[in-house]
Order: sequence, then C-alpha cells, then structure tokens
Amino acid sequence: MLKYFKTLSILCLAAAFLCACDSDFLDKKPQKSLLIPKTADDFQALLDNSDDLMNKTPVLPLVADGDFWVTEPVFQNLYKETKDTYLWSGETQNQLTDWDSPYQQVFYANVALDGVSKLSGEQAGRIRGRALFYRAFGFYQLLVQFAAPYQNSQAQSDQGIPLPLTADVGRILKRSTLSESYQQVLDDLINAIPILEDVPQYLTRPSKPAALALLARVYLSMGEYEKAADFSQQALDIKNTLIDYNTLDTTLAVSFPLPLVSGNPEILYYSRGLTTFFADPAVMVDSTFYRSYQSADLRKSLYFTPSLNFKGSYTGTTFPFGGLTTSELYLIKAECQARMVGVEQSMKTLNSLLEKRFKRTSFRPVTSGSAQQALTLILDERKKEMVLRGVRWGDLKRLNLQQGLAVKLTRSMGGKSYELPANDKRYLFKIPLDELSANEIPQNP
Amino acid sequence: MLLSGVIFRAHAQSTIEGMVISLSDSTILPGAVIKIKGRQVGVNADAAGRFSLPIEVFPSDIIVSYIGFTSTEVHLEGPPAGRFIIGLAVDVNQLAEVVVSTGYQNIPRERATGSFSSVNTSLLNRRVSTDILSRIDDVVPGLITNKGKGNALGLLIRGQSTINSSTQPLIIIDNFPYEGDLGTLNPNDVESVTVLKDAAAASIWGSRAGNGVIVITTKKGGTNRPPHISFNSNLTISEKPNLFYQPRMSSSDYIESEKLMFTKGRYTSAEKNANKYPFTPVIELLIAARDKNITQQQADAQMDVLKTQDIRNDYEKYFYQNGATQQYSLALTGGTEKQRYNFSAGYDNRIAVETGNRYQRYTISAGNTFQLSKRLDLTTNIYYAQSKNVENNPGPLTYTNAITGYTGAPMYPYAQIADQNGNALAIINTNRASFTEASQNKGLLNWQYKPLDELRLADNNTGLTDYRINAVLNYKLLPGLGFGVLYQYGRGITSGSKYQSQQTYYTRNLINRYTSISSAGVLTRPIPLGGIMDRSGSEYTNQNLRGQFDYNKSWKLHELSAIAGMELRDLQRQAETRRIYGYEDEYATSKAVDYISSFTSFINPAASLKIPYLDTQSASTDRYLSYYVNGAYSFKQRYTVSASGRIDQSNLFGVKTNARGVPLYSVGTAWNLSQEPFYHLSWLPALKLRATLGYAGNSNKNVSAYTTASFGSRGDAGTGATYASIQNPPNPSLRWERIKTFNLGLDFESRGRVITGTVEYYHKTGIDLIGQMPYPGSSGVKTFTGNYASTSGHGMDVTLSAKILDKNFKWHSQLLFSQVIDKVKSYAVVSTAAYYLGSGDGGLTIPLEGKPLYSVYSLPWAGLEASTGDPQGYLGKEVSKDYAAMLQIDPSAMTYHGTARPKYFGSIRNTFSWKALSLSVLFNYRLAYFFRENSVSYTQVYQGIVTHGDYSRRWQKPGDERSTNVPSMPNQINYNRESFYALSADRVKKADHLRLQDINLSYTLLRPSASRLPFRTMQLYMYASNLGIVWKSYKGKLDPDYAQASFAPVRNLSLGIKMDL
Repeated sequence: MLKYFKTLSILCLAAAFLCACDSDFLDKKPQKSLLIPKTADDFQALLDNSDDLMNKTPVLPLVADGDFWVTEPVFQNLYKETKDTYLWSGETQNQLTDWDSPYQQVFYANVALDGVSKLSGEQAGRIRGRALFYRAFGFYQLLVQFAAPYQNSQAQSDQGIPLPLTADVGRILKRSTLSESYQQVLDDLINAIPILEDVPQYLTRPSKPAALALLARVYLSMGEYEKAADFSQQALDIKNTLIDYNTLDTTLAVSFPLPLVSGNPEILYYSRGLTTFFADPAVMVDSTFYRSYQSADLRKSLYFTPSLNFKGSYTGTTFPFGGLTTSELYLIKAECQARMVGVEQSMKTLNSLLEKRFKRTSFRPVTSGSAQQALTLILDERKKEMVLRGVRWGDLKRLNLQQGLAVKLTRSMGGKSYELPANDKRYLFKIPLDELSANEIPQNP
Repeated sequence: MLLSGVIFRAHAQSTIEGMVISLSDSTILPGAVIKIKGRQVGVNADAAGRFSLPIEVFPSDIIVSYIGFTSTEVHLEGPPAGRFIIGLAVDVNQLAEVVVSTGYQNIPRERATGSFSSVNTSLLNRRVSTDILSRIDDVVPGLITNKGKGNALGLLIRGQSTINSSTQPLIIIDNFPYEGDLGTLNPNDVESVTVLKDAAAASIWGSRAGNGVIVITTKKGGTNRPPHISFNSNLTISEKPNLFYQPRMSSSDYIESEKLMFTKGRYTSAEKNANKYPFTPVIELLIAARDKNITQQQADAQMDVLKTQDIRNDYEKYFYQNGATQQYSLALTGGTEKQRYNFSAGYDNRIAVETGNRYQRYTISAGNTFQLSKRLDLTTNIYYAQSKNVENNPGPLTYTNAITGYTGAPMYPYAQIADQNGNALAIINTNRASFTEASQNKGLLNWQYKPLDELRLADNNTGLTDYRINAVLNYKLLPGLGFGVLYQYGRGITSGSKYQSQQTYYTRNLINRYTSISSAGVLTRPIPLGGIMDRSGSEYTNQNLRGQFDYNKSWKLHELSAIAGMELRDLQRQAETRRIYGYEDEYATSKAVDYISSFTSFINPAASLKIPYLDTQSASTDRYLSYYVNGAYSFKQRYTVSASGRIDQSNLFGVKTNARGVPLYSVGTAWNLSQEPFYHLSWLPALKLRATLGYAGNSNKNVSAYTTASFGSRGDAGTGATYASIQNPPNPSLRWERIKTFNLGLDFESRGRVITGTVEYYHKTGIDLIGQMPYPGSSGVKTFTGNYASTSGHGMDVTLSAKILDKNFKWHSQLLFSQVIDKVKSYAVVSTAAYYLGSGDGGLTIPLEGKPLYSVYSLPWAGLEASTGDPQGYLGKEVSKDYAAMLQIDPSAMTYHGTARPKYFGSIRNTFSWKALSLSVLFNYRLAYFFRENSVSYTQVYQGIVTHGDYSRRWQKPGDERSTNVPSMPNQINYNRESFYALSADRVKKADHLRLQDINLSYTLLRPSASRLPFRTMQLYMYASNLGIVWKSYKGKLDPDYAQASFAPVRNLSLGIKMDL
C-alpha cells in the first residue's frame, strides 16, 4: 500500500508543479507578431501605419471637382461610386472608403490618445499631439465631403458628422452640429500645436507647422481670414521653403521626387490619395484649364504631359498628394491679405510663390489694380498651384457662397451633359448605406 | 501453428487466460470481447490480444467476438490445460461487437452510448491510395468530402456547426492530436479508424472536438507471436485528363470576335498604352493590315490557319500525360511474452497526370512494448516520414490582356506552343512582341516566352520531413486501477524551393523590367543577372504530456469504467519565406539588391518600381492545459449511463475565459432492450437504444480578448518605420465556440445477423460562434468580431448491412444514408443581395440568417426578349430589363434554391465472393443540392478574353429565344445585364447524382496446410476508381461536383499484390 502512496504523492507533486507553472504556461502570446498595445512605442507604431492607413486622403472630391475628365470606355469600367461621383448623380452608395478611411484614422488616433493618457513623459506627449492632429485631419476630410460648407449663420443648425473621441467602439454616435464639428477640429489642432515638434522625423508624422497649416486651411474654409492669415504666418515662420521649379526636369515621367525617400522641402505633412485613379492615361486635365497656364509657367510642363495626363503629384508617384505644403500657406496668406489688408501685400506674397514657378528668364511679377482683381488672380493661381492636392472641392464649396465667385460645373458623357450648379445639395456626398443601417443618423439632403 | 501460441491456463480461482487472433492473417485482436455463454459478464482482450476471464463452473461455453469478425463459441469441459489461441473469421456485418477507440480509452461498443463509426483494416485496404482520408470516404455515415466551390469544400462530419472557425475534424493518431500534414501517414500502417460524431464520443477532446474527431490507430505487434511479415505493392495508372471538359469558345469564334472588337476600336487606346501590353497574333495581323504592312488577303489567310488551331490539343500533348503511382509497403510484427514489436517501411512514388509534377514518400515506423514487470509496461513508438513534391507544371497558361491589363487572362485559344516537330514556340506573355524584340536589340535579355521551355526549366520542390516519438508507461496500481503517463514529441519541417534560373521567363522579364540604359548605351541592372531563388520553410514542434488514471471493475450486476487525467499541450509553429536574387545554383552564390530605391520601369518610363521584397516570417504558439474525466456504469448489461467532462484552458484567450473554466461535458445512456426479460422478438435478437447530450468546443485563433495589433512584418512601405495595425478592438468576453449535440441511436441485429443496422438522429446547435456584428464606419471598425452567431442543424445517419446470400456464393451489401440539414440561426451582418447571389454558394462565407451557410440563390428568370435577345427577369411581378434594380433587390426577395452541399448522401457497397474471388462495387450518391453553371461573359468578349462555349449558342436573331437561353451579344459592355444573367435562375442546376465510385476485384490464395509455398496468404487485386456518373438530374455535360474544375477527376486503375509470410 505504501508503494501506491508513493506513486500518488509523486503524481500530486507533478500536478502541483503544473498548477504552479500554469499561469506562465498560458501567458505565452499565441502569435509572435501579435501586439497588445501598451507602451508609447506601441502607440507610435499604430500612428506610423502610414502607407496602409494613416496618411491617406479621400479621392472622390478630386473626381467630383471637374478639373479632370475621363474617356467613355474607361468610364464604363469604373466602380459605381466613382461613376456616380463623376457625374454628380447624388446617389447613395452601399459603402464608401472615403467615409470609412478617415474614421479608421480617427479610431487609431483615439486608441493612441486613450493609451497615452495613462503614460507620462515627453514621448507620450508627442504621441498625444500627433494623435490629435490625425483626428483633426480625419474629421476635416469628412466635413469637406459630407457636410455643408461652414456658414456662421447656419453652423448651429447644419448637420456635422459623428465625432468619436474615445476608442470605445461600442459607443455609436449621432451627427454633431456643423459648429461642434468644426470646433472639435480647431480644438484638437490648438491642443496639438504646443506639444508637437517643429521638424518631424518622417514627413508622415504631424509637426507643429503642419498643425498650423491645417488650422489655417480650416479657418480659411470658415471665412475667418484673420485667423487663417495668422496661422499661415506662424507656420511660415517655422518653415517657408519653396522649390524653385527652374531646378526641376520637365521631361521626367514623374516630375517630383519621392518625398519619403529624397525629401521635398515644400511638404509639411505627407498624405496620399486612396487610389491612383488619375494615373490612367484616359483621365485627362480639362483642356481649358490646361490652357490657362502660361507657357512660361513651369507648372504646365511639370504637372502635365503633352497628352494632358497628370504627372505632377508631390507624392512622386501616380497617387495624388493630399497633405499640406508651404505653397498652400503662401496662397492662404495672399488670399487673406487681398481680402483684408491690401493689394500690395497680397501681390508680394503671391509673387514670392510665383517666382519659383515661372521660368526665371521670363518671370514678371504680377500686379493688380483692385482687391477684387487681386482676389481673382490669387484664386486662379490657387486652383493652378493646388490641382489634385485635395483642396479644390472645399474651395468650390466655400467660394460658391461668395458673390461673383460661384461656378457651375458641367460634364458630358455618352452624348449627355451633366451639370452641378453652385450650392447644389449634391455638393454634400451621401452618407453610405452601411453606416445608416448600423447607425440611424439623418442622411444628407 | 495456432496451437503453438498461448494458451488457456487454469488458475486456482478458475480464471482462464487466452488470446484472440484473426484467422485470416493471424494478427492479434485487441479489445475482443470474451463472454461466458448465457451470461452477460465479459472481458476485453488487452492490447496484446490477451484476456483473462474468471469462470466459476465447468463445463462452460465461452463466446468470443470482435469487430468485423464472426463470433466463435468455445466449449470448455474444465479449466483448459492445452495451449491454443482462439481464431476468428472475418464477418462483413460488423456492427454488433465493436471496440471503439477515443484516443483516451477503448470502449466496447456494447457499453458505448455515443456515436462511433469504425473502419477496420480490410475496409481501409479496399481502396488504393497514398493517403488515409480518401479511404474513409463513402464508408462512414455522416462523413462527406464536399466538392464544389471555395469555402464550401472539404471534409465534414455531420455538417458544419461553425461559421468563421476551422471546420476540420480533430485528427488523433495513436492517442494524440496530430498537427502535421496527414499526407505523411502511410495508410498501410493504419489498423483502424474510428470517427467520433456526437458529444458523448467526442467531448472527451473538449474544446477541439466540435467538428468531430477522427481517431487513427496504427498497427502494433503481438505477444508471443513469431515474426510476421506482410508485403503490399501496387501500381496505379491514371488516365490523361480531358482538357475539353469545360466548354470553351472555339478558336474560330474567338478570332471573329477579336476582329469585331478591333473594328469597334476596343484596342485603340491599348495600342498607345505605356505598359506595352501584348496583342494576340490576330490583333497584330489586323494592325499590320490596317497600317498596310501586309495586305488584307495575307492577314485573312493567316487568320484562317489560326482558326484551325486549339491550344487544348497542345496541352493534352505536352502538359498532361498518363499518371502512374507505385506503392510498396513492408511490415514486420511479432513478440515474445516480454516484448512486442512492429516495424514497417513504405515507399510511394507518383508521377502526376500534370507533366512535370511528381510525389515521393518514404515512411518508416517502429514500435516496441516491453513488459517490464507484471504491473508495468512501457511502449515506445517512432514514426518517420519524408516526402518530396515536385510541382513544375504551370497549369493552364495565362497572359496579360491588353485591354484590361489583367495579368491572369487565360491564354488565347489558338496559341501554339510547339511546332510539328515538338520544338518550343514563342507566344506572348506580358509585353508586345515588337517592343520586346526592339529591347533585345538594345542589349536586354532575350524576352521571348516559350511555355514548353518553361516547363522544362521549372524547378519547384517542396520537401517534408515529419516524425513523432512517443512513450507510454502503464502501471497497474490495484486490480482494476491503472495509471499511465504518455508523452509525445512531434516535429515536422516543410521546406520549399522555387528556383527560377536566368533562362526562365519570369527572371528574364523581371531583370529586363528594371534595366535602364544610359545615353552612352550602358546597361544598368538593379536586379542582377542570375536566377531567382524563392525559399519557404515552415516547421512545427508539438509536445504532449498526459497523466491518466484508468479504472475498470465488474461486479455481479455492475460494471464501472472510468478515466481521469490531465494533459499539457504545446504547439509551436514557425514559417518564413526568403528570396535571393542573382542566384547561381551551381555555386550557390547570390547578389545583393537595393530594396529601398525606386527604379524607372524599362517598359513604362513613367512608372517607378521597387524590387519585390518577399521575405516574411511568422511564429505562433498554442498552449492548452486540460483536465478531463470520463466514466460509464452498466447495470445488468442492460442499462448504461456515461458522463464526461473536460476543462480546457488556453493561451488563445484572455484570463477571464480561462479563469471561468466552463467545462465541456456530456451525458449519455444506453438501454439494451433485447436483454430485458420481457423482450421476445426472436427475429430481432439484438436491439439497443442510445441517447446522449453534450457540448464540444471549437476555437478561432484569429480573434483575441485584447485590443490586438500586429506589427507589419517589414517597415512601412513609405517611411520604413516600424508600424502596427489594429486587428480587433478589445473583447474581454471572448470564449470558445460550443457545439451542443443531442444524439439518439438505435442498433439492431436480425437473427443470424443477416441484417444489422444502426439508425441515428442528431440535433446540433452551434452556440457562441465567432461571427461579426456590423458596426457603423464612424466607429472606426466596420465589423466587430465576437461570439455573436449561432447555427442549428439536424440529420440522420443510417447504416444497413445485409448478407443477401451467404452460402458458397456470398453477396453482402451495405447501404449508408446520411441526411444533413443545417442553417445559420443568427447572424447580425446582412450583406447585399449581389453578394449572396454571387458568392453565397462558397465563393465567400456570407452567412444569411435562416438559410444554410452555403446556399444557392438566384434572381427570377423570364427568358430572352424575342426582339433583342436581352435576358429578362422580374421586378416584383413585372417582366423587367432593369438589371441594376433587379440586382439590388432586398436579400429576402431572392429565390432560394437550396444548399450548395448535399442534403442527402451515402453509398451502396455490394460485395460478391465465391471461393477465393471477391468483387466489391461501390456506388455513392449525393442528393438535394445545387450548383451554378457557368456561361458566356460578353465582358470577356469585349475585353478580348476567351469565354465560355455557350457563345456559339447565343441568341442571334428573333426566334432563337425558342431554342436558347443564352442572351444576345450587347453593343457594349453591360455589367449589370451580364451579372443578371449569370445570377438568374436559368443558371442554377440541380447537382443530384449517382456515381460508380470504384470497383475492387481480388483473388486470395490461402496456403494449403501441406503446401510449401513461401507465403501464408497471397492476394492479387485490381482496383478501379472514378468510374463516372451513372445518373444525374442535370442534363448538361459537366460533372455537378466539378462544375468549376478544368477537368473532371481522372479514372484510375490499380493492380496489386499483397502477401503475408
């Protein structure tokens, strides 16, 4: 009998041993690459997911803004949402990456914000600043597409967008007002500015001048020219470099260098379009618009091929650029100056940009006799400079509200013509169906 | 011979000991049931075939029985003194006395309450194959290998009770789960296979048993037996496949459509395309004629020649062949009183029907059991397998379609890959011939593509090494109480190498695409000259440790058996892929490349390219800690109750799930009705009722309780920074999927066992299944994964065996019938109708609440419009051509035809034998399911891609609609029209069919007692499989189970010899 006790006690010991190591044994990570984000580095890694997610911008506004057109056979092969957007059909799509992707960026930013709120230290602060910027950038991309242009008189009543501010996906949010939505963007940026660094390690990471530039862009879209001018100047104080286009080779297939590899001194913040729609040879710039570039304007041959295809992306690839640049700051500053300060200052600002854009030998500084003329000139240059940079749709929306600046867009396809009058309700993209079926929020008109 | 074995030895307390073997090949029969006649008290033979049975009074008759064998009665006048073995003869009606193995214990079927199906050696050997799973197809009720589409494929036991998790049954080889590639197991080494189907049978395996369990037991040695050698060899010849199986547009039709598309200007923009996509010879001729480089007559004449060519003839001639498979297996078993041993070796060599593909496998196994003392025995086993798979056949050829830029377009139908003398010819692949020729002149590598040369140059191997070592120590603590420690170490290494030398098109093309030429004419090659070697490696290491108490005790009226134990499992997997550029196989040298910089594409100077970087690595660990207990109690041999419980903890889930430790359990009961005193049906001497209820689990490794992210395996594509992606938001309540099964069984035998059968009804519910919940995009996640879904299913399994004739001429028949009905009970995500219509049949997994997981849906069909040949459907009750609207109907308005997997299936096996000759014919049937038949795609026609053969049957003029349902060709691409037709009810066909699966003819020579022949038995056999469909409800030419395949399974004929020495 003693022998059995011996066996049994060995067994009990073995069992006890197993139980003791039990917690360690089952704590092993199931996948080596699996990460349960905890440290500041982990959250930074999430925000550095730039190529797949964080540094991407919607392209449907570029499709809709009328600067480019597509041949009919290629049009027939496009995705439904692209076709509908192109012809301003006003139809509701089942799902839209242009809706989902900015919200995914916001979600990542919120995961980082929730995470670093439990951490302290300089790095945690930086990550917080970056996350706030990403969130503001995402919200603003959504506002441009799915909300009405900002009008002080109606911002309290106009529909904004849902504004998730924590990573809790269980909380389904309704649409905030337009005023609240813009305020959130402004708050995030203003909170981010003091904790962001002047020079980021990668152009994909938000920096102080980038946050200032976005703030200037947002204020401009709200018609707050004083603030827009102020923030654009603050950004320029940190970084004001421009590329002299005379130094570039107009014969290259892609005119600009890969910014993440070779750098690009104008880029404050790098982001690229979701698709390469504009790389198709069948997608061509509007010929009237093309002709509006003077022959001495180097942008004409750096931005476009002789067959009117676009080759001037600041991404250095066939993806359109969707980030922030110093040249936009010059244009914001000039526009605000023309509207508020005076013709002379605005022309000076504009010329400091244009001299880098025209052939050195034939550049003549532009002048203007009136503030109105100066504004028109600046807005024309803005359209020419910023083509396919992700601001045109927002510009159309805000300028359509202004006397004498409204435009009607027209297109033809398959022998039929289509038009989009100024301030048409179709300037607001429809919220996709899959959002509405899971979240009962009001659809755009 | 038999008398020289063991033994009956009388003990003072009249306990007799003996041994049971098979009469046919003298293998031992562990688990045989030995009873005293007239009593229900019995014992089981142990692993060595030995038993001891207490006998109180003599004379006495004992009855010995075993799965698959006819029971034998032995009359004992007194305690036996002589030395003899009890030999049993094979019985085809094998349902009555069975020992079933769960991987933890052997249970006599008599006392089993659960649902077990066993396949013994002789049934396993009926088929000739290199793998084991194909041998249990058609012989296990409820088990089916589904064909069909994508996710709906594969082996299932009693339907599917999960949605997003694995559907694979757990495979047990000799006590432990097997984690490697089952292809490494030599089927000749398998003694038996037991399939555990309900909760009582399978729940002992806990969280991994939800899909059923297949327990494979390999052959073992026997005590006190002289060396026994058996040898088996066969040769299988496979027919060359029929490449004309799928209807395809003729070369002539294709050329006419190319001409039409050319005149429609479909190639105009492609001619200017910066990527310089290739044109087919006809388009090149049309361009040349248009540009007046040749005359129209010359072009027409050449096109007339091309119209007579068909690439499928070349495929059949150069890319496919008759296949041949050789199989050799040798086994040695034997034992003394103190030791038992087994050894086996096998070699398989297959030359595939796809020219260039072959497979080789070597297997060796050895086992030893030592009787260390009366109480203690030790078993060790080693199993080693090594295989090599060569896959040099590229399959159907593709090229880059100029209109769409699609790189995988099926090769144009009139391509010619060899001339009359069999010399390789160049055809187009990625770029236009004029461009590649001009480039060659600038110094680039030869840019021609000759498929026949590629076949010769291909060098794509996968090697596999797999071994298992295990040890089992059993100690008898007390009479009836044993304790065992089991340990297994298993490891498998797969290493693949794909060498594409500089001669291959892939490598030449890649080098050329990155080449740049300076103004001085100097060539720079970012991708160095030399070959490209892609290596892939994966390995797993698996360790199991188990400690288990066994208790078996019989009293007068009571029998109790129980096990309890604890188990640790650790499974580590690693995988990696590596690419080496500039590789010279001869010297094994390679060159560095610049993965960071972008290079200008030689083909399209506007594009910049990075050198493909294909290195990846991954590693995973699965750990389980489990406690289990299982017991059965029988009273008077009439009533049995059983129960089992198991707690699993794993590193897959968070602490909360582990801490809760919800047991997976089962309870069962059996009633031997025929043992009741009131039971008097003499024509039905055995009748047993069983009922069980319980839970088994299933796990999904893709979800986690934490907010999980994963690091990109390389740096971010833009910045190179380390980055991570969120996989799933936190879900602390994540838990095992559970499958609840209720099983009701009835076993019966007629007098003389002329008819035996089992009927089972089951009901399965999948609870807490991993599913997705739709989330609004504004939350940042589109769907949230958690335990949100459920399924329910029920069905029947019927096995009927009959000895229709049982004299000199024997006719034995077995019928299997299974019914599987399952549906998705709850699933929150609703997709669009287009999704269900297009991919609901298995292309994707898109559950729709209330419907079987893989279902065939369609849109109503209203025929072709008489004036235009346009397809028509219904919008509401109106005949309509508004295709967009019809495709966007609410999913509830779709027509539901039925499942994409058979609702009823089974087999009919008839065995006729006369003297040494035996013929076995197996038919299988699959009923009540649907498939979608392919048809013409005018989008493909407009893209210049060869389409379906229905093209020639298309509506061309009014009146045609009376004889065809194939729509007319539209004036331009119309996706919605095309989708509507493809998804209409007209395309849905019934898949029901009856198939003559295989025939086995054998002749067995038994050594006459006086003969001096060198073998004890010798069998010559012939086996033919995939013999074709006997009946199908659908009228088309396709095999409904292979409607998507490029050819139907080929017929095989095997000849073999089996010898026992």
